[in-house]
Amino acid sequence: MIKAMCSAEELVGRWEERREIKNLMGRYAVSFLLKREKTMFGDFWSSREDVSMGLNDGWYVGREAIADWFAAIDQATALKAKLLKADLPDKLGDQDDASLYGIGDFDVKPLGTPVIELADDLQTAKGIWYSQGSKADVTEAGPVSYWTFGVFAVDFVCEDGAWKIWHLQYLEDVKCLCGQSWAAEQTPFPENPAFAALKDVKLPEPTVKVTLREYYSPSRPLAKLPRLPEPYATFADTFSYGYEKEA
Amino acid sequence: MNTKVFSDDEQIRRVWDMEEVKDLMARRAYLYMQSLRREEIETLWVQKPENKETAVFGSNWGFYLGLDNISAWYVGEHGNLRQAQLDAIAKNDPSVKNIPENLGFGSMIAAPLSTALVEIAGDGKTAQGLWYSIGQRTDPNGDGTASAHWVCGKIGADFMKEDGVWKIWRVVEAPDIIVEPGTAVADQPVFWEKGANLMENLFGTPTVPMTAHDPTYNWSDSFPPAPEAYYSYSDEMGNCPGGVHNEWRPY
Repeated sequence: MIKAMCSAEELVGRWEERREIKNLMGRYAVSFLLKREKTMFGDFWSSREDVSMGLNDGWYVGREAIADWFAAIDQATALKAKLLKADLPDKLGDQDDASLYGIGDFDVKPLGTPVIELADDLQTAKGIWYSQGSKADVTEAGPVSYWTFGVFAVDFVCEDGAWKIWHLQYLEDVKCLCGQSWAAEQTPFPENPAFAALKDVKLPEPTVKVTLREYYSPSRPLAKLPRLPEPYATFADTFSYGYEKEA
Repeated sequence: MNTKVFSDDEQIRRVWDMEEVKDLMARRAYLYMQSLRREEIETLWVQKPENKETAVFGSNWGFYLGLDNISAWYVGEHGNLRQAQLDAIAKNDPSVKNIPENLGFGSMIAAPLSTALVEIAGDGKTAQGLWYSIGQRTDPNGDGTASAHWVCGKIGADFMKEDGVWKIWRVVEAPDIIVEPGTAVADQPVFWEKGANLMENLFGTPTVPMTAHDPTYNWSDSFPPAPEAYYSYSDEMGNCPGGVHNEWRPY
């Protein structure tokens, strides 16, 4: 929609919708930081059946697949707290599981460089953000820290007056141990027996296993990003960031 | 100082102008990441002849003046660099085809934007913005390895409206920190020897060589400028050689 064609009132309304979308994604990013995976799917995602989430190694298609992915992170978070408590009994031994939930994990996905387009009909919106983040994690090597560089590309849908995530891609170029170069072979830390139980922790496999993004290496061709949002009238007139079954 | 009183309608259109300016620079960042430099110049920068003539691209070491000169360096020389890198990669590893589709093989760059500070001129014809970018540049060495650097700095820009659409007119990218991952900023040289600074080497031979931003003593100057409210644009406040350096708007 061309700005000149909008009344001032319409522009105010559209500005407020953009702000809501930015705030939604801000809350989504902060929820990773605060280890709220237990409620994130219900808090932020659409109630539609055709939701989808694309990560580097494939698509999680439908409500159950995405909910399972969040639930697996929740379970891993609880296990990490138990292992840290066992490893640090003098520091943490007197605290219960609920109060220790989330310790050791610091998942920072700051969002910048937004490009957002609202549909003319205000029923959907599209946005892309770059995230130059970091993740302090607890792994089978114990606590480690990574730099993470990636991009979020998201379709939103308005449900009962509130914006919700409909399709989301989070594609990472870099997950590199801090103190090492993402351009070189990573030297992993040795396993720590106290955290050996984490070796078996795996997130659910994607519904559709396909490489959506290769991590950077010197042998990777120049990687294109998801297409940038373009002005559009209704969702039928634009492209989707969601899973689309090949014909 | 911009002391004009605006109507409600004018005010919301100026708010929307700010959104459009930020959107424009974000789109530039994504094209830059994908090495779509010609597309950036042709779709996001000024296109009217009189504005192309006064377009500027600057960095710590000077300025390219005019969109033709900017393009020759920003698109042309960068393309030559990517071709030379691909030549070396393909020679070292024949499985990598030396074809245009493989330009950029082994590379990865990003200059994401945050901390936006944007002012729209009182006359509505121009705008000025400043962002901070914590980015990176990773280049193939040609032998199957690559060299990575954090590149952190301010990005300043001046904008102009052409037929009601905001366009990039002048840009200054001013790196403060250029450091390999896993190495300490404190261990970097205070004074770079000629040819040792990656970003200086990449900046080529500008139309106007000069010290535009000097990070030697960490933020010892205020260029590119932090925008302040203004009514109409003048070169003295701009991201251009005539922009007042160092003594202007001291922190």
